Amino acid sequence: MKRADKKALLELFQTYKEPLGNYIGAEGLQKLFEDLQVDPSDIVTLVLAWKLRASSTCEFTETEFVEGLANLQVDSLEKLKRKLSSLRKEIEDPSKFKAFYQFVFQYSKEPSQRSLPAETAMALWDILLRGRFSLLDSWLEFLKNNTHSISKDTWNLLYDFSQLSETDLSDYDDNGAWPVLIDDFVKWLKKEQPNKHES
Amino acid sequence: MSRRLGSRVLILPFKHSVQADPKYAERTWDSLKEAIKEICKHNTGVLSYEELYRNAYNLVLHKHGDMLYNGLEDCLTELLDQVVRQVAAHTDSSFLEKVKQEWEWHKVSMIHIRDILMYMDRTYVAAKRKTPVYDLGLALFRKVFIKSTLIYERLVNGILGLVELERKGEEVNRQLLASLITMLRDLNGEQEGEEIFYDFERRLLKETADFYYEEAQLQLSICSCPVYLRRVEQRLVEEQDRIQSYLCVNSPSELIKVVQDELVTRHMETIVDMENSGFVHLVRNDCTQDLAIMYNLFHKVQGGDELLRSRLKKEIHTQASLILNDVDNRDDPIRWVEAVICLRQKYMNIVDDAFCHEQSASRNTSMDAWSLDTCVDKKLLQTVNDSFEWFLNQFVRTSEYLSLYLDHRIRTDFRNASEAEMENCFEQVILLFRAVRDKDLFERYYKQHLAKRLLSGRNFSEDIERIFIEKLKSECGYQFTSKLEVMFTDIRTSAEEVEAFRTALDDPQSSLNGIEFQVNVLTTGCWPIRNQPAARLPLEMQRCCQAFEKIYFARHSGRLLSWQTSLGNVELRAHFPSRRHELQVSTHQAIILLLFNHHDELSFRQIQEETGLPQNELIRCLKSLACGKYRILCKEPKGKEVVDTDMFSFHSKFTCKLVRIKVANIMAEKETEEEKRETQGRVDDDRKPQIEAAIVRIMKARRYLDHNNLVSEVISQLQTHFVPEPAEIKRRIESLIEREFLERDNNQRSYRYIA
Repeated sequence: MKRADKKALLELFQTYKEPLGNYIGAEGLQKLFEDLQVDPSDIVTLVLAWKLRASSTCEFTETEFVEGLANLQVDSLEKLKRKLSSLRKEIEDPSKFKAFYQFVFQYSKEPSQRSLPAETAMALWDILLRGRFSLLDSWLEFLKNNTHSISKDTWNLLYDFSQLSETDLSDYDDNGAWPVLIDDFVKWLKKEQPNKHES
Repeated sequence: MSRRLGSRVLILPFKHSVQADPKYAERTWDSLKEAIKEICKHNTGVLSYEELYRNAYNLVLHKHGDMLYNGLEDCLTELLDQVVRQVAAHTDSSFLEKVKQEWEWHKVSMIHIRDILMYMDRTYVAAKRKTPVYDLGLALFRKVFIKSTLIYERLVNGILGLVELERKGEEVNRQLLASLITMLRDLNGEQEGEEIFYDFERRLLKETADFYYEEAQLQLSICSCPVYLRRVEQRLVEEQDRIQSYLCVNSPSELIKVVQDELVTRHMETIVDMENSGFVHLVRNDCTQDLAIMYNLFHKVQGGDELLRSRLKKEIHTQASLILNDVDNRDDPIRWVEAVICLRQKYMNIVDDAFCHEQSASRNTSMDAWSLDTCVDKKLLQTVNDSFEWFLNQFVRTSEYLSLYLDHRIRTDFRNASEAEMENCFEQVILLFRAVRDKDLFERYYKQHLAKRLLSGRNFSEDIERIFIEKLKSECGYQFTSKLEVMFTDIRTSAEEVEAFRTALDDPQSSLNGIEFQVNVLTTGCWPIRNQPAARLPLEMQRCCQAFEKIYFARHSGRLLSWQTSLGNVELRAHFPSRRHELQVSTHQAIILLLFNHHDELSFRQIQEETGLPQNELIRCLKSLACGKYRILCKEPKGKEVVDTDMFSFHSKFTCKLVRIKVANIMAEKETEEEKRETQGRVDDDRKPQIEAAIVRIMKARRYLDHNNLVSEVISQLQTHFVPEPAEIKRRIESLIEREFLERDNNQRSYRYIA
């Protein structure tokens, strides 16, 4: 395969970048996604950010964009479009997914904060874990009333939690090393739906 | 012989006719056989030992050993058969005696026979490996006589019958029984079919079990628990005696066990739970002797100990819950603690007096003798302690009440108490303290109450306080008590400050308006006192404070004083129309009262404005002045509660027999629900950094540890102060992960220390 054409990428970059800065901002991203015919809330947009090693949300720097796409052997919109489907397949692999999932936390939070606001987290979980976590809806319901921010530790461990044999939660050890929020969730769940989750 | 024919005399040699007489052996044997029969009939007088011995000797010598031996066997068998028929003909009343007699005789006979046939024993028997003569005699006795169907059953039944009679209380011939049983034992063989003694033992055990089964049924239906226990004890003593005397079984302990099983083990629960006389009843009424008997019996059987422990635990829980649920007790700290102490003492006494068992013998060196140590049953002691621990930690106000109790005793009783009483009181408090899990909560209350005692202005005894502090130190370590030192020092230096202050004043009378003024200067941070803004003091008091400050700041530069009016007390001279009284009041109460020097009547709001007191405090003070025992103020409308629309006026018609009236003292009292929550909240806040420090300490040392081990290490490190909840520990761990002191390991049940 011939090497990616950096010049072409730079031009691409120019098309979308902010007028006053050397980065692609929120508007530029929106246009990019439109052109790619991808919904902005599609998980693949996050996968792209992961692959480009973007450091903060709704923003691609020149380096991230150009170098990142070059590494993906992509130098045009067409190629990018095709690449997206292979990206989707890539995260089907659980180990890759886990790394991706953990990346999303870092990517989504404010640089100055240590944790993620609950609302943001909830929106992200809806995208990321839909179809991978059978208790997702209960979890989101539980969170509505229950906390203000999600720590990195809790975010990471939620993925592990989602991979437990979920239907009866009999594996769950509440004297174990799960974060307190997840302990509380299990307690709440058992109280709310005693029939389904007896263990 | 000689013949007279001529002059020749012929002397012929003596011809002895020694033929190999075939009939010689038979004849010899026959005569021996007769002799044996005579021996067995005890007619030894007519016999010559040497002749018989020689006959036997000759037989054996001439290779007739077989005939002799087999003949002996047949002869004895025949004789014994006859004996069987003779003995069997006796009636039951003399049957056993006859058996014994025959046995004795048989032994004697066999000795004689053995003596005669000793040569055969030594040569023929040894060579042919046959049973020696005496043993043969015994074996034949067993086989022919004892095991005869006419004899055996009657014999065994007879023996067992006598035993049963004796058990029922009749006197029996013990010697006879001893002989017979020893006989059975001696005759016991190794081969199958020969184990007559083992058979007898088995029958005996079964009979014993049946007998005592019935006994238990009978006694349980008529006896109360203590009476039954005594009967059981007696039965056991009797059986032991029987065993010593004649019931020489191979395994006495097995026999005793059978008795115990039937009398005790089978009915353990029935005995213990007997209504109105069982374990619970005995414990409630302190019947230590009966309990001691019960314990001794139950201790020896399987499951007895556990049963007692479980009942004791249940009973303590019941009684303790009664204390807990009694409303009067719950509201009165002193009563509550005293009830608990009393209850605990009761059970300790019972355990000490009743639940002891003998330990192995030990050498008492001072007396140079062996003595048996009795020691208290540790597990029962543990049960008492554990139950109290459970109970004390059930009740949320335990720590507070304990400290209040201590405070009360120190303030009121210890003036006149002996050292022993004081020591005892402190010991009791410490024992309960040891069981409390939230030790830091107790420490907090103790400090508060101690501070109040120190500041109350009355003479407190530093020595008494120190005795208790020493005890706390040995329980909890010195860090706790080091802060208390500062409190004591402050009191001492305050006295010096006041001295200096008084001497430095030019004209005490005028500068202080004749007020006697006392100050305690407290080091901030060491006293459990929150810095609160001062109430608005009347002018006279303000002047005193200013005068003090002037001199204090001259002596010590760079210090800041903040006046705490909530803790002072004042003696007011009150001029009522009827007479003068001296009122001992708190500073806040004094401020309020002094307002009425300038006003006849004041509303709640006005008082609030003038004094600047916070709402709760004001309500409390006014309540004590207007609705309490001594009504110095009148309240409109009348009633027990103070609301912010009330009006207050000086109660000119106040009378009281006493001249000096204590309206209130800054003394320790029970917290309101709200205050209690606050204190608990503060304690919880204090615990968080302690938990975190423990986690960091442990992780720093271990570097890598799994979750469960970390939690248990944290608990064990902190439990001298309080027992942290695992959930709280988890929260602290998460917080430390956030702050990057720790990280999770990949397998996610362990943590790693981040250096």
